Amino acid sequence: MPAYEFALIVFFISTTAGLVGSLTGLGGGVIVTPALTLLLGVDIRYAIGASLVSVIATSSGAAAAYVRDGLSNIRIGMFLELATTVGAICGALLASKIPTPVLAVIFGLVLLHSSWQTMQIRRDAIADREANALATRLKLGGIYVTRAETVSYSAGHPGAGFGLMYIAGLLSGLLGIGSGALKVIAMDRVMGIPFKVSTATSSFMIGVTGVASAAIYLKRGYIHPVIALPVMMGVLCGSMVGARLLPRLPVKTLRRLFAGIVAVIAVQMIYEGIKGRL
Amino acid sequence: MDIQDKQLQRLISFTLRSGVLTAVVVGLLGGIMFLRFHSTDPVAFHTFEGAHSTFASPREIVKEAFHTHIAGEENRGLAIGQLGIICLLLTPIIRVALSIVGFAMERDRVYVVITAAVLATLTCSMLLH
Repeated sequence: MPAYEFALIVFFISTTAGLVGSLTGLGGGVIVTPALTLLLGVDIRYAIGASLVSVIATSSGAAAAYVRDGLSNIRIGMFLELATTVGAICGALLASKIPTPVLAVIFGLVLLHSSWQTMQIRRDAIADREANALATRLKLGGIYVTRAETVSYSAGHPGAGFGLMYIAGLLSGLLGIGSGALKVIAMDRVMGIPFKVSTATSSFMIGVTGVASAAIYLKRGYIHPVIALPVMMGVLCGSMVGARLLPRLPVKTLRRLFAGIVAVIAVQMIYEGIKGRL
Repeated sequence: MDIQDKQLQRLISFTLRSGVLTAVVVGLLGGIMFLRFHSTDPVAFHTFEGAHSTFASPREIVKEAFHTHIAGEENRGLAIGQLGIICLLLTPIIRVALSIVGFAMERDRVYVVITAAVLATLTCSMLLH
């Protein structure tokens, strides 16, 4: 395939992935890897490298707005990044030891879980926890301001949250994804941090987590500019358009629809992996 | 949340936004330079060979992007594109470094240590093979 044609197709696929990613809340990176491997037959290691770059770009862009609005909790993020960065390094080191079909199957399973996750109806965590000494010492709490009210919150279970974050980092480094879904579960469900703050803090953390494994990917040649550049541009464009469209669309219906499609892609990825074709 | 926290938020937000913007502009420039001379070069990524060593280390990337000889023209566009990606990867690292300064200004010793540990982990990742 000539370079310009390849770049154009990759850009188009990535734009679609970014759009679907932002409409479902899954993030563009998780969809770009199966799209590149299943549709174009790109080796999964190149796809993972390119996707990680796009994940860092979109999450940094989104986090810029969240941080400015005071929604990301910088302290909670920084504390938990200790776990995600160490996890990410372990994941990136592990990635080269695992055969690619196995990598594809793990990817499919994680994708399947994330799509199932987005279909769930979310209930606000009940905030009756006993004060945790470590959480208090680390000032894991804060306030956030919405148009209607000022909400004050505090976090519990810092140990369990920390452990889950290590796993989120491990998966991020292994599969070149942001692991946003798992990060939000760790903060929202386990630590009892409000959903909005969890989402905003998660995108704040994804950039730092991603860089920890990207440095290793770069050295191993996973990040090829001919793929990574159009993927980064495409996913950025797609997710920016998605963010604009979001307030005007019937989000719940769309989210279900796309989550269903993503689940089908995940199953196909697992199937191809078991067949040893990826 | 005090005034310094607000300042830190604004500074971090600005860093993130300019980092992504720089990456896009530099990346686009490199991509266009590459396609100008190599738009019909055949590419295939079905088998993994790893990106050329020129694109696998920041030092080599910078060297290739700013070299003065004309003979190696073919790699310059891609090297500049990869330089854009390096700019993107530097963004979160700068963000962490700035946070250390921010926490130090607030005299929050616990978080200076935590943030320094995150920065040390990131530095480790760059030294690993």
